[in-house]
Order: sequence, then C-alpha cells, then structure tokens
Amino acid sequence: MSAMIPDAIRDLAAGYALGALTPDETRAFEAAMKAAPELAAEVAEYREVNALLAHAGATAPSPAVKARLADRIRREKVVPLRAGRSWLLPVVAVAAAASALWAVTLNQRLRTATDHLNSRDAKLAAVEAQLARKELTLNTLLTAESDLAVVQLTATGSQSPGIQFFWNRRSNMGVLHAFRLPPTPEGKVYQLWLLRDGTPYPSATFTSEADGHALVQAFALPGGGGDRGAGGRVDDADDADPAGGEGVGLGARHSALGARRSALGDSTQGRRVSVCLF
Amino acid sequence: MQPYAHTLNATRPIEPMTQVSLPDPSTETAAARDRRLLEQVAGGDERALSLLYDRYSAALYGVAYRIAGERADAEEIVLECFAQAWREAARFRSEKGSVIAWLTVICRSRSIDLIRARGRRSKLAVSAVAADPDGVPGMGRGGPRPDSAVTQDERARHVAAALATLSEPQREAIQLAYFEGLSQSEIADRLAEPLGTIKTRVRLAMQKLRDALRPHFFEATP
Repeated sequence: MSAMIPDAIRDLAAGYALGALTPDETRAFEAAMKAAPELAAEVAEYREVNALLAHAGATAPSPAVKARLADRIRREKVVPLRAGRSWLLPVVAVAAAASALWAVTLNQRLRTATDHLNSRDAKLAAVEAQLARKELTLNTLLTAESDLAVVQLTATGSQSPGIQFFWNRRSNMGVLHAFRLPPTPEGKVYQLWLLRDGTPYPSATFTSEADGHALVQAFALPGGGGDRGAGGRVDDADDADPAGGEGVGLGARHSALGARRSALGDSTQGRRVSVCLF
Repeated sequence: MQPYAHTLNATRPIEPMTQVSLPDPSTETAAARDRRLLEQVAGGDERALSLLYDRYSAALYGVAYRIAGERADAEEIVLECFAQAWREAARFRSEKGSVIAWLTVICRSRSIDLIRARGRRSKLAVSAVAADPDGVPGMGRGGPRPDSAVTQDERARHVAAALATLSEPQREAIQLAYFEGLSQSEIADRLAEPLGTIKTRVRLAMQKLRDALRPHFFEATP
C-alpha cells in the first residue's frame, strides 16, 4: 500500500504534523491521508514527537491561570460533549426518540384534526343540504298560492296511517307528510311510489320517526295526465298478495289506487307508500 | 497487635460486594490514564480537568510562550486550550495519538493563529536563535520547570539527546517550524535556502527525532 503513495506526498507528513505546509499542500496531504491510513499513522508519530518537544521546554504558568480556567468553565456553564458511551448519547437518543414521538404525535394530532375538520365539513354539507331541501319544501308550499292542492288521505280507523299530500301544481312538486306509519323493520325503508296514468314511478325513500311521522320533502312529480286528485296506500312491498293482505287503503275522493297496486309489483323492499295522481 | 487481632476475629465475614473495576495505578500507562481522565472530562468532571491541567499545563505554556513571546498571551492560550479540551473532550480519538499530543496540536494551533493574527513573530525565539545558534530555545532549556517530577526530567533528557542527533541546520528548521509557526516556504525565505532543501531538512529532522524518541512516546502509535 505504501508503494501507492507518491514520495512527494509522503514527504509532506512531517511538515503536516508541524503545521508547516502551505494551504495547498495541506489540502493535498489531507486528501491523500483519507485514502492511506499509514499516512495518518505517520502523522500521529510526528505529533508524539511534538508533544515530547513541548515537554522539553515546560514552564509553569501563573497559578492564576488555573483559577481562571475553573472560573471560566463554571461561569460559561460549558456543557462538554460526551464520548460515544457517555451519558449524553442516551440523552440525545432520548431526545431524538422524544422528537420522533413528538413528530408522530403531532402527525397523529394533525391527522385527527384533519379528520375532525373533514367530519365537520361533511356534517356542515349535510346540514346545508337539509336546509336546502327544507327551503325547497317551503317554497313548494308557499309559492304555489292558488295552485297548491292539499289532499288528506286517511284510512278508516283512528289508528290507521294517514297522509297529507301537498301538491304544487304550478311547479309539479309535491310534499308528503305521513303519520301513524307503522315502524319499518330493521334495515328496511319506506319508498314513495307515484302512480300517474297507470304508470308507477319510484320516488324518495324515507323512514318514519318513532311517533310514526314522516316528512318527504319536496319531490318532483311525474308530468302529464290529470291533476284533479290523488289517492294513496301504505302496504308491505314484499307482501305475497299485493292486492290485499295488510295493506291499508287510503281513500280520498277516489278508490282507484287499489286497482293499480298490482302494477307496483314487489320490486321494493320494506313498506310502500303509494300515491296515485289523477 | 492483640487487640487488633481480637477485633479482626470478632468481625463478621466479609460479605460479597459488587465488583468494581478500577484501574491499577501501578500498571496503568500514562497514556491510558490520560485517556481515562479525558473521558471523565467529557463527562463534566472538573477534577479530571484539573489533573490534566496539573500534568500538562507547563508543557503547553512553554510552547505557547515560545511561540507567542508574551506571558499574558501564553497564559491566555493555555486557558483557551484547556477550555477547548473541556468542551471537545469527546472529539478526542485515541487512534490519532496521545492526549498530550492532541493538546499540543490545539496549543500550537492557537499560538500560531495568534501570532499570525497580530502579524508578528516571537521576538523571544528569534533573538534567542540569533544570540545562541548552538542552542535551541524551548527545547530542554526553557527556564524553570513546573515541578521536579522525575518523568519530566527524564523526558527532557531524552528530548535533549534526540535533539543532539540533529545537525544545526536541521534543529534550526525545526525551531522555526515548531516555535515560530513558519511554513516550509517561509523558512526557505527566512534562511534564503531552496524550498526543496528546507523540506528535506525538516523531514529528515523529524524522522530522526521520531526514531530517537519513539520508545518514549506517550502513546504507542499503530
């Protein structure tokens, strides 16, 4: 390995140890020393020589120097660097771990805050949508003026379901308020079906409140056909006998709904509120 | 003796204790002791720094004084040198040499930086060389010693013997480089000699010193 070191470089070792090289020579030698450990070993030997030369001329400094040194390191509160196996390494390690933990915690907090904001945004959007629907419902009722038809669909019996159907003929929008609705089975919903000119149109799905009330806010009605009245029915969608069974007929001015029920089929799950427009 | 014997007999058997490894002062080398002290310094042990100071401040002050040429400057350099050692003890790497070699590098660097910063050279060293060309100030003739330790005197004798093996031009070159912080180019200019000649002179002189002093190194080099 020594043969690989040019003599011009090796000859700089003594001068390097003495600090007697020019800056260019120093850079060149230090670059060579990185690649050749034997150069570093040679420099180390020359530095031992330097240390011995220093001892040869030893002269005691003033005692005040030591006192100043003691005062200096205390006054400056110098915290010495610790060696590899010292106490500082664990401290640094703990600090690094704490920093990492802090970063993780911060990240988790940030993620939680982001999720929270997203949740808030979703809730806000839901409320806004709900408000928009209510506004539309209100407009459906208020803007109809003389074109608003209110149809009370009631069944016989005081505990039977009933429907209030608000029909804005001008905009052909409807609002349905049902009450005394039987609770829907778990996992099922009511679906509003609209029948017009013999054709069933699926409309909104909804659930009833605990007290049996349900509000189907503004919904569009199928166009065309008559606008004279409406009929309705509440029954089980999966009823084996759509024409009978437990279905509750809501008679208004007409009883045509019953004849049209067979057209609905059993395509829906849960209960069915049917409104027949004629 | 009898009372003591009685006491010893009455003493309970010695209970086993946690075994603590302490360095044996009789077998611990100076270099190992210095490394241990520096390690304690790195841990913030002021007493360890005090011991190192007691051991090496005189040598460092001698170097600083001869380079700086002023006692106040030399004292300030020594102070800064040990303060730096206090701060940077953990950076010491034993594979690069002994503790005193490390401290000497710090001391010489600070001293040379000082004289270069103020743009003058040590009047003391220059005048001494001119007045006594056969002597080399600071190399065994540096004035009062800090203490009368045998090892200190022995080292001085070994160094003096090693220096005696050098030719006068070699000693002069080492003197200018070591105590005045001159680069080899500056030495060549100062002595009006070719640079190549000075480089060779410095190299050969250091090799001679190394060979003569190797048995007395503080740290066995790899």
